[in-house]
Amino acid sequence: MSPSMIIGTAFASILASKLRSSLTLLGVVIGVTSVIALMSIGRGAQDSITSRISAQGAELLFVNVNFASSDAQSLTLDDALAISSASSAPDVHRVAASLSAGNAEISLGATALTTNATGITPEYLAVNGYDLASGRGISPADLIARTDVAILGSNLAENLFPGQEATGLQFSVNGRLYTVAGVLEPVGGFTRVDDQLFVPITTAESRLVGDAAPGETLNVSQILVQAADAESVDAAAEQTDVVLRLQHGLSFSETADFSISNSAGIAETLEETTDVLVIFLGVVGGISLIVGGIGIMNIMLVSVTERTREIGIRRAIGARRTAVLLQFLAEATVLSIGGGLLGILAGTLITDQFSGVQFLNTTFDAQMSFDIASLAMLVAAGIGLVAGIYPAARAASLDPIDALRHE
Amino acid sequence: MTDAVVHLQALNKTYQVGVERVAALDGVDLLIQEREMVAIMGASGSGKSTLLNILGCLDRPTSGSYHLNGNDVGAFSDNRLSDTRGRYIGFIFQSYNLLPQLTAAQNVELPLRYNPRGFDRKQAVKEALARVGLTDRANHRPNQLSGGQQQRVGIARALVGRPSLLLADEPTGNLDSRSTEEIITLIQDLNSQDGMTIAMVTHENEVASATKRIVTLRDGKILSDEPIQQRRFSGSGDLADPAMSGVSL
Repeated sequence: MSPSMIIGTAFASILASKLRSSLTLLGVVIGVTSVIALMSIGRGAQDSITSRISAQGAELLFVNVNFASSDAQSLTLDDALAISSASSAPDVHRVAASLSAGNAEISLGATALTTNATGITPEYLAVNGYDLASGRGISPADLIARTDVAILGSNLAENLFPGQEATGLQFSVNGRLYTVAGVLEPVGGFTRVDDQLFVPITTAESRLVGDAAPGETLNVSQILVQAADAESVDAAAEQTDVVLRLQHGLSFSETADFSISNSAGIAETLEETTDVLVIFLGVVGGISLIVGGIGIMNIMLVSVTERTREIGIRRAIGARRTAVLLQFLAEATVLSIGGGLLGILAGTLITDQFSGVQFLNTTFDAQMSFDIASLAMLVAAGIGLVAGIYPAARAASLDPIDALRHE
Repeated sequence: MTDAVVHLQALNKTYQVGVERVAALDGVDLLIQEREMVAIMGASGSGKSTLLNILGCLDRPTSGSYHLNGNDVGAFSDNRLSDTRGRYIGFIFQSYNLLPQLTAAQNVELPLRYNPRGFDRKQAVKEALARVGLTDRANHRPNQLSGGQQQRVGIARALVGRPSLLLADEPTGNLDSRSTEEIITLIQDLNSQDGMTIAMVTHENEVASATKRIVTLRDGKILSDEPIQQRRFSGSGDLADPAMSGVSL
């Protein structure tokens, strides 16, 4: 029997029992669909998380206090100035610092709300890639004068001044009057920049954090160092390290009381974490695929018993054992590959439904990809084959006389 | 002996039933020449079905030899036995044994699918269906055909591969007398007009008397083996014909 005849016979048998075949098919379709949909959604989640991180730029370095160090000193605004002005740091493009001021009570007439306030230096917005929708940013003069001006995230501006041009208007923070200097374009993402209040870092220190002792250096929460480009990030990190060790009076053998990390590293860590999520979802899908495979085996075994007489007839008119074996294997394979293809179709449709969905302030894109589809297809075909082998071997081993007598 | 289609020598077939060995066939010697038409008769349990299964290469003897067209079937591998069934044997069953999901033409074509031959498959199927008078039923499924028509499809399937031996197992056992007459007449014609060698198991005297020779088995042994005067099948059950009087049953 030629391969085309074997497959033809398989199709004929499948079509001859449509209900049984479609139920078997359904098992595989559900399995493949869930593998594809779950893995695509998982990968989409992973991508939207990592793209948020890397959107901040691969050329960004974050300098934080290393609290693991025994006598950690705070990072100061002077440290930030030292990095930006050091001639020994040619790969550093821009430096910004921020000071987390915690929650701020904002009120305007009857409107009262609480939001996160951050003190920033003039370069902060540019380093982070935040664009102004209107007004101006923080100027060096604001820092010196500790002016009561604020930059509003887009949501915050809309909440405080619905439908109005906020720039130039006034509102109060912790009971003190501030003037809106500028409003940011929407940013999106997990960091909730759109709800934030930004003020000059010096203003934040004296008015919001409130531990300013005049003449003392200004402690900052974080220093952001922007390298000239992604390639010079490592060089910029080393130069930053040298400048800060000099500032803090540390030798190169000592443990640094600060840590320098970059967004690529953070993205990597997050990706490892989310890999677990993708694998978990894949396993859930895989289990349904295995259940589908067991369905095939079950149906094929029932069908061998049901078709014992047919097997006897085929053997009596000249079919070899291998022809019967191949017929049953071909049926299982056709069912599983057919189910696999339908599953890919259904999985793609479901994945499409999850694409471009707004979720947690970010656009979520489920990523259907060729490797997921081919993996699911391969597993489906493999399971079909494995599930088909035992019933097929049983069918082929039937004694033709016994098979013919079977009622 | 090389001319014989079937040559059985000292054929034994024993079955193990529990601790007992039961002899289904016990020293059977049988020669069937080309163009013969033989009825195999006997009570149930006499071994006639076992004999037919061995002749049809569905079963192997425990001892003794079976030469089909001069070839020792005992030495055949399982694959060669399958191929022999497909090429040299045509089986006609009591319950037709057609595949319900296939049309008449597809059923007839099946042996040629498993054992492709030198001749054109579609043409051979057409000719076989024409030979049994079912050209206009080629695309009907078995459940759309009467019992007699289904058996004629079964006969077309048996002869489509131009076998050297046509075996029929109670071919009219499930048919009314009118259909029985059609089928037996058709089988007679296949022997007399087409020159096919035929062995047919039956327990009906009228059917047996339509052959040229009656072999009677009892307890696995050949009780009698005699040529008879072949009659056209009448289906009347009339046994007054003198040709039948010499037959011991």
